[in-house]
Amino acid sequence: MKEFSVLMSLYYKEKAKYLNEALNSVFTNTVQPTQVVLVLDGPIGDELQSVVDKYCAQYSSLEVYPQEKNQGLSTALNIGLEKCRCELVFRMDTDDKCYPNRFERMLSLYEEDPDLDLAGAWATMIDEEGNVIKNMSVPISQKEIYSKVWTCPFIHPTVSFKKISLMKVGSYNPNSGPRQDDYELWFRCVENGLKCKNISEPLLYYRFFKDSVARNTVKVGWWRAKVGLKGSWRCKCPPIAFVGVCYPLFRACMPSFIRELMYKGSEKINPRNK
Amino acid sequence: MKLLITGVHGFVGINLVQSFKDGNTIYGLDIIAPEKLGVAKTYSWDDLDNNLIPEVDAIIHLAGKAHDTKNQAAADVYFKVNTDLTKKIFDYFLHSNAQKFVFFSTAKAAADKVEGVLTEEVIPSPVGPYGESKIAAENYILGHTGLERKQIYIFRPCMIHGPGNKGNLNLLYNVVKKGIPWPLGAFENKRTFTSIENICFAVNGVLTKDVPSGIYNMGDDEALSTNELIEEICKSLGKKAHIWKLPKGLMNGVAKVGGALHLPLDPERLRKLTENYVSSNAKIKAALGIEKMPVDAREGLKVTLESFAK
Repeated sequence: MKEFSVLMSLYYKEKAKYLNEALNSVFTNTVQPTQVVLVLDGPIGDELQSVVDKYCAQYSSLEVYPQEKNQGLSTALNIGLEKCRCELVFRMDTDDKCYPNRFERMLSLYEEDPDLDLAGAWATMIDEEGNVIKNMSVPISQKEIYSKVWTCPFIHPTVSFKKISLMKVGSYNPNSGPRQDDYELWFRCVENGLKCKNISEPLLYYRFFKDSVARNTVKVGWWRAKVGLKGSWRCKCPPIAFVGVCYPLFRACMPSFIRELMYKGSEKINPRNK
Repeated sequence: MKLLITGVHGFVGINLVQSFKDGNTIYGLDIIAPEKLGVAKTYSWDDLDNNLIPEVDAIIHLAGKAHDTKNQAAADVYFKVNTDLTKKIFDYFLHSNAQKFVFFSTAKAAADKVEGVLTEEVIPSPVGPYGESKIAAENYILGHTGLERKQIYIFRPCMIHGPGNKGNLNLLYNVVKKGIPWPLGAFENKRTFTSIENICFAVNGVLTKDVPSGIYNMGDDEALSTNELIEEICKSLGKKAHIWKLPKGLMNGVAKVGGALHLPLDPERLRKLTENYVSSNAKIKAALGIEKMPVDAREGLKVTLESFAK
């Protein structure tokens, strides 16, 4: 069986309960990772530390890299990526849960196609208590991923990639803008012609919060449009992309009751929903 | 012989391991450390800082950031990887007991465009961060020549290809495979390619023979035109070549329009596909005492192209 590293970043706002569930789902998967790299993005507090310590004591494959100060997701992931020793790296978030067969299922993709650079999966949305909301889908084929790159065609915590391929496109960009760490990266992956796909099965429980909508502020919308317009131009996206990437900014500028309506409306056409 | 190969898990590294694994002990130095047959152990660059790497007889420095025309933004990364890592491993070499050091530079460090034939004597004039970062690394090494009991080789290969490699050859292959006619037949150019077998042969030569230190171009004996390359691809696919000799002026115009409209054929790509780039491998052949490289350019291409079909 192929070796792989798991790359995670933890910061102080995470809940100990979610971290525990996340790590448990990693270490109880049907195939064990060779190495789990956990970057502590600044001080994390005693409660989270005790969860980390518990898993460290139990699993020697867990490597913890504490950072003095919080530097943001992209920087933390780049620090962690350097520490990954395996050719293949799986991303994972500290508030999500893997399906029990996530690694095994994804590894089989790389075995079928040794040239594959980047692969993700569908996900099952869950709420704060872990109740299933619904499944979330993304484009499957490379062709569709490329043509819909402006819609953010990967669910970040589900992806896995070849370390060298990701470094070739320049890894994560710390200046990509708030909450654009992954979106900006996908454009560069497509621009550089990485071989990629998504698997049409949910392999991750992806946690959504009540305030998820409120987090999409005007600032985030502005950056989304900025990253999206630049990326769409460089990836030669169709005209609809240039309208589409500005939609979140437009939406964020609306009063909240209209925003709610717009979220409901866009659910019907968004390729990320099912 | 004990060897330390940086970038051992890259394309050239994998091939060197294949050809040297019998009778030699190979240690790797790389950013990933998968278990590979023939590699005793892969160390990390942190291990180099912490002096954990065993003594070896020779160091082959392959690790680098490859040429990538699309990613202009990351200029500093080229220098961090291509220049700074070379300084680091070369300093290690100077203080170690290793006797030979082979650095893989690039023909692009010597010249971006070639008129006539590129030789080792050319005054380097690289364009862009890739070539500039490689020449900076070369210059650092050349500042330390004339050392007793140490031999240093700088290799400047032209486009390397071999079974399983990706890159420009693969792109052209897929265009031809789709049956798209080649519209640039009127441009007659010549380019030097480098078959991976010839690289392995040359590395073996400098490691086992007493070859003088210095800069050596790497390339196959014969230069091929893009038209000849397409014919080879068609032969490999069992297809008839469709090469259209459209007027050069027309194609230049088409490329200009293509550039404005973001189409696949733009002036930059046209230049890349039709430029001359002939490099002479006479110096390395003389140093190794051979008349011909072991693999002929067409023969080497055939092997590479066959691997794409799989």
